[in-house]
Amino acid sequence: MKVTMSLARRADSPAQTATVSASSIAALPRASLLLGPFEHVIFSASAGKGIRSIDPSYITQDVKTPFASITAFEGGVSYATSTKNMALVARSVFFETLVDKDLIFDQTVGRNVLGVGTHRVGWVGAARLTGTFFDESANITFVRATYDDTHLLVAYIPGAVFRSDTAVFADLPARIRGTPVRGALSAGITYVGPRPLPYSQQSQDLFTIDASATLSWTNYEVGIVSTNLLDNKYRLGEYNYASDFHSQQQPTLVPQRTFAAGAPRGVFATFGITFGGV
Amino acid sequence: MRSLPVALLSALVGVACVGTTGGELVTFSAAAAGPEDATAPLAFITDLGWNVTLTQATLHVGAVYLDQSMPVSGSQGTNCILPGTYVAEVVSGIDVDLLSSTPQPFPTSGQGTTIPPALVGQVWLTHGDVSAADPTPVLVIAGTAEKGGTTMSFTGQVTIGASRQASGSAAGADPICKEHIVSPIPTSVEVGTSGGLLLRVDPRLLFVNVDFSQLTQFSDGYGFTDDPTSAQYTQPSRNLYQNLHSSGALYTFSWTDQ
Repeated sequence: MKVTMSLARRADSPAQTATVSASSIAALPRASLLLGPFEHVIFSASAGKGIRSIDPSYITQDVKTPFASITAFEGGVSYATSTKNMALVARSVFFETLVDKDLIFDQTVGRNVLGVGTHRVGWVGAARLTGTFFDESANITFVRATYDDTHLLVAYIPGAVFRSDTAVFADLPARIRGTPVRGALSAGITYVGPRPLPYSQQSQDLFTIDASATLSWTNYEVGIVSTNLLDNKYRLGEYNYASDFHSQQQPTLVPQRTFAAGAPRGVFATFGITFGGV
Repeated sequence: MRSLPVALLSALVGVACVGTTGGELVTFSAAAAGPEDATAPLAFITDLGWNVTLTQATLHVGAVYLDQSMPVSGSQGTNCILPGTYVAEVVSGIDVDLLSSTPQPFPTSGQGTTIPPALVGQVWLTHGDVSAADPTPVLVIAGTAEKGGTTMSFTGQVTIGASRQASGSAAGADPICKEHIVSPIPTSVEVGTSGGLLLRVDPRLLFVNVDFSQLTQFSDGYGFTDDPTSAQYTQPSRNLYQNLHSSGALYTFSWTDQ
């Protein structure tokens, strides 16, 4: 893989520009071993290397490797089976990822900055169950991310994330001009565990349910969609940094907990017309 | 067998959540006091040979802050707010009796972080907005000074009002917050998860290079003048004010176990 990056920066006057560029070639080897299937079960293991382009602001002229190197290992097992009315796919994967120069969110500058190496170990479980009138997909991830030098946790990376998407659908008894009306109900459930924050703080966890109900007939569909169905008051992003809202006579200059509130319940009505193939 | 998946999930959650990002946010008690050997009255000899007996020395501290970074010496002038991370703050005011060695607690607790260690401190001398003139005296002193058989009773106060600000902001004068804030005070304090912050102020150092013989004579004795625009604002008054802003040994921060 060859990556070429250029950065142009305006100097004192618009007519003056400074440009730096760097390019490099990286090999991205990956090896996988699959064993099976044994009674619908496949065992797998793989290892590989990858790269990620770094922020252009870190590009200097002819820098040797303008990207971060990633080494990844994983081992897991998957299960797949199906019957006449149902199909099931499930997998379990343990993974380990090493990044030599990770992008770390810096709340002081408000963006990701190039940091030291990090190490992630974790587990992913995923399953999908599909039937004639339903479709369920769920996955859960546990991860522990630490810095290579201090072995402290990397801030803002949640230890657990769960997502489930469920849909049930069927033709309703009602017919219009001989064409049945099709109904569908769906729900998306999201759980994000507490995130480690700077200074050994922890954020709150996050739990939301989005849901929708739709009726469709030929090319037309009407529906109602609700986001954050339970109207949970949650903190979308939590940070610890110095902030002063003039709440008292003298300013507060040491890091304080600050958060961005998550969106409240939203209810939306939709109407759609599909042109072309149905 | 059913407990196995539950146990596995519990273990994964545990592994994912164990650990910290380093350091802690802490709430701590804070206090201010005179020097450890303070007594009332406080008798001492100044560098100019005056035998001084202080009967009153009260300083209003509006807030104290600790910061991780020391401004570079010789660089351009600093802002009232230092660069770097503030690691501790006490944002409530207190009138400190400098003739008492007993720690006098601030009305509210301080907030801070255990990392990084503080290298510099700030003492905010104000009753209100640090960017506004303060008509209330921040320092009130009284006592006697004796040298060569001459004894002088004196009083004094320091107010950081509008007259303290160098006129003409267009000329690049410092804002009045620079008058309110004593900074940078070299220190080496590590905020802990227990204990508290103690600020000691030694009133003896307020009288460094103060020549009491040049005090202004009033109807009821001698005194320091609080108006820098007055013709009576002479060496003693000028040095008292400069000493109050000295970031040397006058102010000492420490972290106590209690």
